Amino acid sequence: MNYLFILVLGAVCLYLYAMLGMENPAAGAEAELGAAFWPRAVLVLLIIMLAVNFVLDWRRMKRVGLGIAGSFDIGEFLESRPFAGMILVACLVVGLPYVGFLPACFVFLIAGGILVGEKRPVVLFLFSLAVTVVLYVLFQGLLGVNLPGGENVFGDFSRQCAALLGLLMGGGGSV
Amino acid sequence: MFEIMSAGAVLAAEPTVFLVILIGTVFGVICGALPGIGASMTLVLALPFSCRMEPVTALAFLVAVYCAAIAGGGITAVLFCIPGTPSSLPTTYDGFPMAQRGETGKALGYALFSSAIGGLIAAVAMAALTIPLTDLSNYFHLSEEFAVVLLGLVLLTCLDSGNTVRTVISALLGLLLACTGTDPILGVPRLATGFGPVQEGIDIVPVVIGLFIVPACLRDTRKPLIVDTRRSPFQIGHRNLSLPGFWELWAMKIAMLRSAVVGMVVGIVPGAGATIASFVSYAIEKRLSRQPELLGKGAPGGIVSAESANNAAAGGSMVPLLAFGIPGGNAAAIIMIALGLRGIYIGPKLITEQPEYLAGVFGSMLATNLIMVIVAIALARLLARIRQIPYSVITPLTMMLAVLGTYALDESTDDVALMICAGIVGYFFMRLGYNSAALILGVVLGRICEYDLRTAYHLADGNLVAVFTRPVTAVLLMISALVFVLSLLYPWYKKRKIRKSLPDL
Repeated sequence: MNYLFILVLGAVCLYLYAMLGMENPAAGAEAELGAAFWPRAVLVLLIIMLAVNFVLDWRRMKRVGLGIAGSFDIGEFLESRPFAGMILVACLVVGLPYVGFLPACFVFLIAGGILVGEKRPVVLFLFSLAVTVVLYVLFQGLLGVNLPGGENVFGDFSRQCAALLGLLMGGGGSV
Repeated sequence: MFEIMSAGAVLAAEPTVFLVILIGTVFGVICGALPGIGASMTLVLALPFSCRMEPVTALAFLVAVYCAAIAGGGITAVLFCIPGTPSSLPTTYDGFPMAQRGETGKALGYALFSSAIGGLIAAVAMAALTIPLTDLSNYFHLSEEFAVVLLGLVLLTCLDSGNTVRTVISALLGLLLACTGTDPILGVPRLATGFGPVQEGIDIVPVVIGLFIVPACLRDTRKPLIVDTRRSPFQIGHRNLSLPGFWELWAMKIAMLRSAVVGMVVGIVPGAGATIASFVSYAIEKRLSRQPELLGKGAPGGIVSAESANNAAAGGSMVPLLAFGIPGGNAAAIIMIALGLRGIYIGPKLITEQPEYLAGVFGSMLATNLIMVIVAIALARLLARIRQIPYSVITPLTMMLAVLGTYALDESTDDVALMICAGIVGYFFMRLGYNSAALILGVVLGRICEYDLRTAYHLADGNLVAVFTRPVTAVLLMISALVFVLSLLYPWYKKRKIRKSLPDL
């Protein structure tokens, strides 16, 4: 896996090096290093260090008898909890503008708890509900952050909650 | 120095600032005690909240959070033998055994009071050292500033002995990311790849939050549900919360002072940090103690040496930031980013022209170290239960706080998307052994380095040799090169030594 990373990064560095030369030609003035100087210097050092890293890793992997993928098993990774966690947070980010904060947070906390291994549904439900409410009151009410409201029916629900919060806070909360 | 100290005390006594410091202290102590959340993560979680404060107040808040988080880590080290922060690991050697034999209150008291004393000494030393160092750095030419920043970056990356090559690569990637957007001198677009999030330059705060929080949360999904299988001294009947008496603390005065000095000195070195400070101090205590055989079995000296040093190091790490504009570690880099968001670049010019920032740091450290003892003792029973909170609660909650904090910066879901992307990349970074903290430091210091070098070159009429051969610049650059080369060669030398010492088969 590290080899792949090094090769991809090395290729990107070479591309950027060439691109910098085209979009930022050498400075016209003598007493100016130019916009490309510093990033090119960094890219040269980076390519050298990537090459060193590749050689060191190659020798280490050869010693222990591992192949180009090292000890990384993609099948195992795709079934792992961290991968599921990545899918979960990606869904949260994608869904947040559409469903709004309250449903997204509530569902995320339940799903996250199940992912980590919580087996008490009532505890999980109550905890997720309580934390969602607390975070909503803290951010929307006390800190005045306009949390995402969502669209359509979720938007209506969010507006009603904001109005209720405003009433509870004596008109001091954000609507 | 005394003007700064009195200004800091007056500032900390203002109701708004005091309230903010109090909230930061409580937040820091609790988060520092939570499993899986260290001092840097606590600071990152607090970062978005600071964006809505006045700059000096924000600085005081973040310093309070950091100092309190370091102390909070010591509490769980005593109660559960599990350090809340890495710098509290030596505290477990003596804190937990002392608690196990029924002296829980004493162990906590030694940890908290020595944290407070270490922090207070560091605050005074910081106020004393920063002004003269700032005056010195104001004489620096731009080439010297470039060399100092480069040395700081080299030390910060090369002192990570886990894998120097990958840490250096991470720092170089950070330097490269800092080049995206607009050239700082000519104002032309640079590295305009058309990739949206970096087109206008990296928005650093969501990236920092993503790189620190998301990989840790994803890693925690693989952990067992509850981290602590050991019952705390509270649960096995040792509920004695009697604090150590004045004379018991007085008997530890030499150890506290010595450890505070060690911590301060180590903390000033960029990259050394609170963890190294606490280990070095513990080792010194073992060497100098009159009863070294008691260390590791519940000796007060063991607790005092670690906790005094790690809190003093927190103060020490602020000195290079305030005097030279070089963050002494992750926490200082995060504080630098927080102020950078408002266009305030902390460093010698700021401290000279607006000394209220130094006063704010001093005042916050003063108030935090006094308040946190009271807060931590008041929360002791609550904190005893913290380790029982399962990861199924902490992990999603931490993730949600990170999302909300990122969203709150600009009320934009694009920032949240950037944070998550950075976090997922950061997870693979972590799994492959690269160093996200070095990447962040590269981003933070990259612009400064480039600006100083190019401006120095321009002022020297295009003579690069003249830039690099200025005496101070040349010495600093040679030290940087030496540290860099030695850190690359050291692992190879160590392996060779081990191979030579193995018997021939």
